[in-house]
Amino acid sequence: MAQNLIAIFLSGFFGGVFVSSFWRVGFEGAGLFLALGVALALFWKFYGAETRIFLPLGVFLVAASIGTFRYAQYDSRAELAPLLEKEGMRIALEGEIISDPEKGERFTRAVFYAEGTNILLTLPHYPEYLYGTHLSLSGVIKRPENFAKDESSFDWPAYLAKDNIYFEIFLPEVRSAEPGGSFFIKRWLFTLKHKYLENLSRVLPHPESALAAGITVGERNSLGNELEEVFRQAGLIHIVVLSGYNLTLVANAVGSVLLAFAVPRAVSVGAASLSILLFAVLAGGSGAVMRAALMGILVYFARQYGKIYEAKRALIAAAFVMTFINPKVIRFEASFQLSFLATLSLLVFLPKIEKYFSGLPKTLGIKENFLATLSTQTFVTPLLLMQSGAVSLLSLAANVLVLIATPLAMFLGFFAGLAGFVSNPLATIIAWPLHLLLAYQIYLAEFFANIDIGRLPVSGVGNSTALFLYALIAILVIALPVYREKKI
Amino acid sequence: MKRKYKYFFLGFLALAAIIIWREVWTAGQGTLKFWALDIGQGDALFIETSSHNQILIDSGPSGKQVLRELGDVMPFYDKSIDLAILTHPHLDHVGGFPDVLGSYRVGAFAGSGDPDTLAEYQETQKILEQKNIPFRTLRRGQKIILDKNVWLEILYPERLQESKNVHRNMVIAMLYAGEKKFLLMGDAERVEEVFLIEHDGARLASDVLKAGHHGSKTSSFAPFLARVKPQYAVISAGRDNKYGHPHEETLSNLQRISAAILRTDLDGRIKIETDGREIFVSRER
Repeated sequence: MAQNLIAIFLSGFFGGVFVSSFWRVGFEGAGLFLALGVALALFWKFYGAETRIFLPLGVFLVAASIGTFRYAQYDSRAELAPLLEKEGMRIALEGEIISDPEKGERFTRAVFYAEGTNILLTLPHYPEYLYGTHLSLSGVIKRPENFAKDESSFDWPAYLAKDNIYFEIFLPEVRSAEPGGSFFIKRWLFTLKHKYLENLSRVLPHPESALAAGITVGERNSLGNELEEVFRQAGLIHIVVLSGYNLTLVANAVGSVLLAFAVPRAVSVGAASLSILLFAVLAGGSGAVMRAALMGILVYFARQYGKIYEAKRALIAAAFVMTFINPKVIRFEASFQLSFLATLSLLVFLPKIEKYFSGLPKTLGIKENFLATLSTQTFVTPLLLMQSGAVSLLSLAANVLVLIATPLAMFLGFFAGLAGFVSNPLATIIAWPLHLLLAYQIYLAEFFANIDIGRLPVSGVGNSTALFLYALIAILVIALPVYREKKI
Repeated sequence: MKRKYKYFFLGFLALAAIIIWREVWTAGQGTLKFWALDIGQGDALFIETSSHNQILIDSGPSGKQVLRELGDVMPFYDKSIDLAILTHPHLDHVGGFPDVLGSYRVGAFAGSGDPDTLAEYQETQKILEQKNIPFRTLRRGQKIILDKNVWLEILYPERLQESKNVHRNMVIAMLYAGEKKFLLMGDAERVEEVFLIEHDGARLASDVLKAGHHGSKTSSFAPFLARVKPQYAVISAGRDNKYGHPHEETLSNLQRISAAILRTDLDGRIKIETDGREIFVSRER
């Protein structure tokens, strides 16, 4: 009973958040849900057995009201009012840069906090302003707009909205800049990351250095638009973004090296999890990265100890916490949706299909890569279809071939970057085999991106089709016989 | 398990040996290679002499593009450039230097020394100071020996001028490679061309001309081209750039002296190779 109630509570909470992200329910709605929920619970309390159905309903509604309330609170735009009045006008502002500025092809983008709201600044590459720089500037304040008019294209305002950014200033005039503000640990971490990235670029040529930066600390913007598009078309973009799966690979690599040296299992699992955290910290510790790290650790634990059931619950709990912190991730953050689905697939789908592929060779991790790719792709494809409208049939092959090299490339990339702090010659020596692996991955990405046959341009995959596909997948997962779960 | 490591180690040694011997064997007997890199609207020229001395002249508008191009033309293990030259502190020439200086070990940096407040230029100077990279001021008459029978001669500026136009302090250089000559004009305009005609006259005759100012009509005027008479004219401009470079007039001037026109906006990266007697051109998209 208690377990069921928890499940009902969680669905109520997620439901509330989900509905709120489509329609403006607001505090009024939250109040209504709460009143109804409490009333139903009281009914159950006084009339007992005959009204048993009212308890779960009441719990559901109360949970929904919490979700709705949290969303409304997160979304409350009261603080936007003063700036909304000045929309389109040139105004003077004072505030701090609160993100690690992203250097794009032509401009640098940074999140600026002033007057109680976040503003996206588009700046020239130089002078460089780092995280924590206090700026006094003037510029024309605008609300973000979509560049292209057609529906299917990327929704820029919604993308910014999930980070609570509702304003933009393009090329502001900076009057004075004072570095050294905001949270000192983050400032220190970003400095460390920049040094690490420079270490990589000192020993690897472009674009291999950019790929190394992508797979080790999820630094995507150094790749450049052209190469990013190549990876996207080959269905490989996720390897450039630090994902939970990437991190599981690192943990596996660290864990198996330690086990080979006869280190006790508990210690090696601990060290492997620590290595995941280390990667996440180096990657700047942003929300997306911490989510990836958490899910990476979950999957690693589950696969090490065979505790799939516990890991599933932990995954749901993690999703609850993440959604509570930022309720917009459910609808607006593709990285959250993708990593949640991918992690879920590794926990519920992979164990069930494993036995059908027992004939695959284990060398070079072919079997493991194949299974992981097949299950994550199955879970993620409908969502990708809905979001991008195109999917590569060959991406399964591309993924298996590229992922073979990923663990070693991540491992070497990480050590090359760290070695650069100590000795450049050492980093250079590590970089040679690393270069070979990265060049292989880039070659494959370009190869698969250039094949047209495997690409299905799917238009009109709407929400309903995606929901239908997910229903099919759910049935498949439930219908497949339970494979004996390994106990340690 | 042990045996595997042995093979790894052997493979590593073999790779190192191949790379080292390749360097040794090809040193001093190859050709000089000159690239006009495909970096969009701007200039970036890369020269590698037969003993692998490398010179980068200008760096294009942004780091990403020039790093990508350098990654393509240099061997993967080579992360050093012997000399970097800045013709003048405009964004489309200096923009890539902060990233180049961060990613490559640069032996020395040279330019006219024109003081300018452009942020990219300031950043470049800051990095030069931080990394202790020596700065050399370039003036007319200087020679930079690059290799056996290969040198750069600085033709301009004679001294720094005070002017609102940064182009007045342009670094113009002639690259001598055996019997072949490359005239590298940077963003030089008519004023500088007149100066060169007056001071160098017949010495301007060249095999390759890196045309001034991205083929704009402010440069490459007919009397100047008549003195230079290049076999090849290289124009570095971005695809569909908003300035309309290169200009029709410049193109027809070049056609009139029957120079073969090579354009980065149409041909992509341009490679010119010479053994000092003959010139080989290839377009690398």
